Amino acid sequence: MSTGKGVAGLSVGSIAKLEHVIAYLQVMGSAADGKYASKVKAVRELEALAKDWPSRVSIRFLRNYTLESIDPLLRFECARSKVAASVSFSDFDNFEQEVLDPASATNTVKHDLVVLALWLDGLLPANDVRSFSPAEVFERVRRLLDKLLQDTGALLAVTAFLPPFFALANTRTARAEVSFLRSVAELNRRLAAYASSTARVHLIDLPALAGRLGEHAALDARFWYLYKAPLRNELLDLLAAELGAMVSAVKGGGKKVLVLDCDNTLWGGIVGEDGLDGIQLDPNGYPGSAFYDFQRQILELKSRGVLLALCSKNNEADALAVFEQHPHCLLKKQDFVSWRINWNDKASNMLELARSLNLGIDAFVLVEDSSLECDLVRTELPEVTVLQVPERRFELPNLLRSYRGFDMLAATEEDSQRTHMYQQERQREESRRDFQDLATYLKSIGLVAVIRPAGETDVARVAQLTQKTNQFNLTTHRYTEGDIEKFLSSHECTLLTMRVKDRFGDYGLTGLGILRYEGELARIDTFLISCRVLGRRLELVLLGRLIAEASRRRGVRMVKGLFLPTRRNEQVGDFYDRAGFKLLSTKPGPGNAQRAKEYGYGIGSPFIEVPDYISVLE
Amino acid sequence: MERVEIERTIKKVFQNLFDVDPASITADASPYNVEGWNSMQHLSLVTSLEAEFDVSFGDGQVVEMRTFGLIVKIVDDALRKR
Repeated sequence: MSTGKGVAGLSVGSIAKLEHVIAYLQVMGSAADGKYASKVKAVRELEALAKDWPSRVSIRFLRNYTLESIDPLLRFECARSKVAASVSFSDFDNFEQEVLDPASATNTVKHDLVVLALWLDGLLPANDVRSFSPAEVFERVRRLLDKLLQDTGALLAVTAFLPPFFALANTRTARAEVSFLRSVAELNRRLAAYASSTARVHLIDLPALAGRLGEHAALDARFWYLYKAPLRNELLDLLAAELGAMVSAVKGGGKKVLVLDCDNTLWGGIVGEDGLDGIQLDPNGYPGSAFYDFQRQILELKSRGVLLALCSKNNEADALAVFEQHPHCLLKKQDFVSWRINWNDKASNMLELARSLNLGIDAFVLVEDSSLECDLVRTELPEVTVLQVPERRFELPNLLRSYRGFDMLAATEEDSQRTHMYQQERQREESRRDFQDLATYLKSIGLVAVIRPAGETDVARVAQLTQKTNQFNLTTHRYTEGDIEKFLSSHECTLLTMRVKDRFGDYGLTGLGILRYEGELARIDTFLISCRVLGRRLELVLLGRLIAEASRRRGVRMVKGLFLPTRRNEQVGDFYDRAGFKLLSTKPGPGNAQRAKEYGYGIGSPFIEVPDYISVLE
Repeated sequence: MERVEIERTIKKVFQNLFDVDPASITADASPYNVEGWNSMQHLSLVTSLEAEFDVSFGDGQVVEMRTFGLIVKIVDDALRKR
């Protein structure tokens, strides 16, 4: 990769927009030689060029071995999802003090992700050289994790243990009760059970990653004995990718929609020419088997909350017939929230899909076989992630297996229902057309808002709302589950959630307001409404309840609200004006046309009338 | 591989890892006068050279790579023995 020469028609020196930087990175990521030194250089150049990263993370390693080489690899992985990362490491052997000491860098700096990466040798008692007690080591690790959960709001990752270099193979001694490998496996089992029952702790299966590479490519005895650095760069690369996927799930682009081409993507052949019987989708033959497995994966993503859509150049009736009639087509028409099957260009069709679903174009991933179409969309819409169907069709199922953009840390009830909710929305649209005006329509649908303080069971969804809501979001503060738990346990905060339903169905938890008290003042730290329930004036109901909540607290005389402009939230720029708040001050926003604005509302002042077609329950 | 080409390739690795001008690298370039070439980066340097030349260095060689000149000699040796 040379500096001056651009890829995708870009000259590196002139890259200004972050999207272009990312597009450059994506092409480079796959086209580059993949060597460590090239990545070090690439990430250095990117960080120098891109100034306006949409989000940043701080990652702290608590470790007892050398793994500093992961730093540029991890920054590289985070940059892929438009996140600027800063990475720091605890001193070599004081990971326990770091956790316990309230004045340590782990406890005084706000980190988004803390990684506990331990090598077993350093945790073993010196007196027994034959084996160790998995229970004791597990307890030691668990205590650290519990303490971190309690003291920091960070997401936690812990790596499973690899056997030490001195551990003998189990061959022929499998019956021996005392065996290092057995004890390591038992320790990892306990760790896995703990992580799967603790929302903010994520286990990274380092032995499985090493297994993917093979021991010789993953581990380096030479650097272990020389410098206490057991992991080769190849393994650090995989570890960085896992951690990068966690970061992306919390802070990243937030991909929500998988858009699929039809011919030679969802099945082999061209339905318009080969006919319904001529396309390849039979799991008992090749390449039908590869397409069949690909459809399986797509359904699995759908069940995790990913929305599916079609965008294909076909006669609509030809393509839809496959979903309705083909005996081996797993995907059905009702699995898709929307489609554009016509002869228009893909970029325009994608934009239309985004508009019809009320989502930003950067939430879209396109799978497509034609290089021409892929290039067009990459050029016209650099925010869209484009995955090209590989020429060797047996590699097709690998496309989604290795794609991490849809990774979610915790699937919520709303996720599994998402397609269903979007379909209910279509029914509402249809019913809306029968009414003359909006108010009459809204009266007819029996809108109910249930507004309650957030509880323990809401933590995952509330954090997810702060991470994913872009449009109706006054401050766009992103919070982790740890942050939300902290708010919940604080007496200086109130979190109000709003659930919405009507006669067509349930929208789930779709509104959130967070108040923070400072003496006479109640600040609205966060106020957001999911795009699914916009246009019903529900925001006024929630704001009214938030004010009522503030006025109930002894001594509070004023509510302050803040509007922080982003590229996506223009529509709420005058929300507080409309609600009858008074503008107190304005400041230029960061690199933005709109200005940040602070508003005040005196308790007891008149408040805009709440629409009568909404029933409010507590 | 020609000695000049070996030097050029090693200089490229230095440039990528340490952000230094290849023209400024002399035979006596060492951790004392190249910013960023610390004990941590030494590991990355060794593995990058191994990946670049498809060779594997022994523990003695790893420790001996104290200057650019020594690195060139060690890489040259490793390539001859391959």
